Amino acid sequence: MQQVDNLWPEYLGNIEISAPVQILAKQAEYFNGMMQNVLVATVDSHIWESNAVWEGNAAYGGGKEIELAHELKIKMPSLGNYSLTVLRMRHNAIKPYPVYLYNAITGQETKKGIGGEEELVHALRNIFNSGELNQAISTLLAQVKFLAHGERA
Amino acid sequence: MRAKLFFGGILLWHNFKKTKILLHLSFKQKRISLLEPFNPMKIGFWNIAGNSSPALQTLVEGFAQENDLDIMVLLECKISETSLLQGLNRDKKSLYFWSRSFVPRNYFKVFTKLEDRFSEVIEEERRIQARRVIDPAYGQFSLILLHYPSKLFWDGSDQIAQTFELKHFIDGVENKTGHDRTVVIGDFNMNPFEQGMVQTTGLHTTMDRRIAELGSRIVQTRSYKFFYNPMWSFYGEKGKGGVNSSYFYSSSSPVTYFWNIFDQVILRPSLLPAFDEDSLQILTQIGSQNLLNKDGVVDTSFSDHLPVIFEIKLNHIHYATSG
Repeated sequence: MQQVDNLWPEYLGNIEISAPVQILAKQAEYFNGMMQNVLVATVDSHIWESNAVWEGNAAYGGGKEIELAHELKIKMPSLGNYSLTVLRMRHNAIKPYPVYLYNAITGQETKKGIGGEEELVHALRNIFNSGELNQAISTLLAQVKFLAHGERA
Repeated sequence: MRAKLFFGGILLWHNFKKTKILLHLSFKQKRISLLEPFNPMKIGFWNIAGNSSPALQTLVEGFAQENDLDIMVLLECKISETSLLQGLNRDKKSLYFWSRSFVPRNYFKVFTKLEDRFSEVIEEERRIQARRVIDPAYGQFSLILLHYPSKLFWDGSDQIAQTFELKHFIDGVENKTGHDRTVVIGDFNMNPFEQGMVQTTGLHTTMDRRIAELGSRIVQTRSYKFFYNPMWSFYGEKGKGGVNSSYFYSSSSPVTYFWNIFDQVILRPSLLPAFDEDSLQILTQIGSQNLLNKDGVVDTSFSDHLPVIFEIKLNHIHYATSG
């Protein structure tokens, strides 16, 4: 067989992109440090197969859109299996933006896609600073203390 | 301190098949605690649409007591938990607990005769909650509570798209518990025939018990588990029970069904032996109060939904203690 040159460019994959999941994972890491792993934040990812037709592929006659979904969950090791889903984000499997963000504590979803990293950070900050999330985490911590001190009646 | 070790209670009881001895060791409590079986386990739910009137509260109390519910789930409940508990426990025939959630202002309030350890929340979001329900004698199953986004805010395609996440949540719970004895109840805001209820990447329900009992089916090399949806039986004038469905809505748009079954119970095949189909009812009356008006549609002065009850008999499943 004739020698075939490597057609791939040397710069392949060198574009600096902070994938939404990386931002979320970093936040989980910060949270775990703050909580000293009494409560543990995890990021679980899965493929999200929607039958919805998006504008992006409507030109090709519609069809399935393969997306990635990432969930931020707070788990409480001292309460065995319990886990609370804080938020879920999803985006096209190939394009990291727009991101669609669902606040699982309030049940609200962003109306339109989040276009970039700065906007995503802003939206995450809003969720993390919300009264509802603070209340949920405070209740979880109270439960942890309750269990730790053997105060079960 | 060892002297404080106290044998709380020994209960001997006979059933048709075997004798069981249940021993409860209580280290801190000096009260007798009996591990009583909840068999059949009576479950009821009702979307009370944010109504908190004293009249409705009296009906809710009647709903629990009249049907001897072991687990009562109220959706969109704005009645104070304390007030409702006082009413529920007034006659002292049975003691109800409020089983709280960690999600503030979530859509469910659960009142149960089961202590927390027998009705434990294992996974939750605002609109969905999974509980491990344990009958101390006969094993456990997963009870998933759902309040799906309404058609007032989401169109059909939004609802269909999101059912993939519902499936993911349920699959996650089944992986976590190690079994698929799962029942999902609540306000699905979709009729049993809608795509999100039926499609493989959604809830994958079927009206046919025999098909559900096949367990799963393969579509394009992937296997999808079934849910059995017994709610289909209520449709139509000759359908089950005294009412066509649980929710009436008349709109001026070209397509309207009038009667909708948004309040549903769906079960995995592995839980079907424990499901008493005759026990499933859409209630139209509590005490002497008719929940339908003179035209035979839902009396919205209480709620625009009707309550649903059913029973699970875990003793009909011999392996329910696994997982």
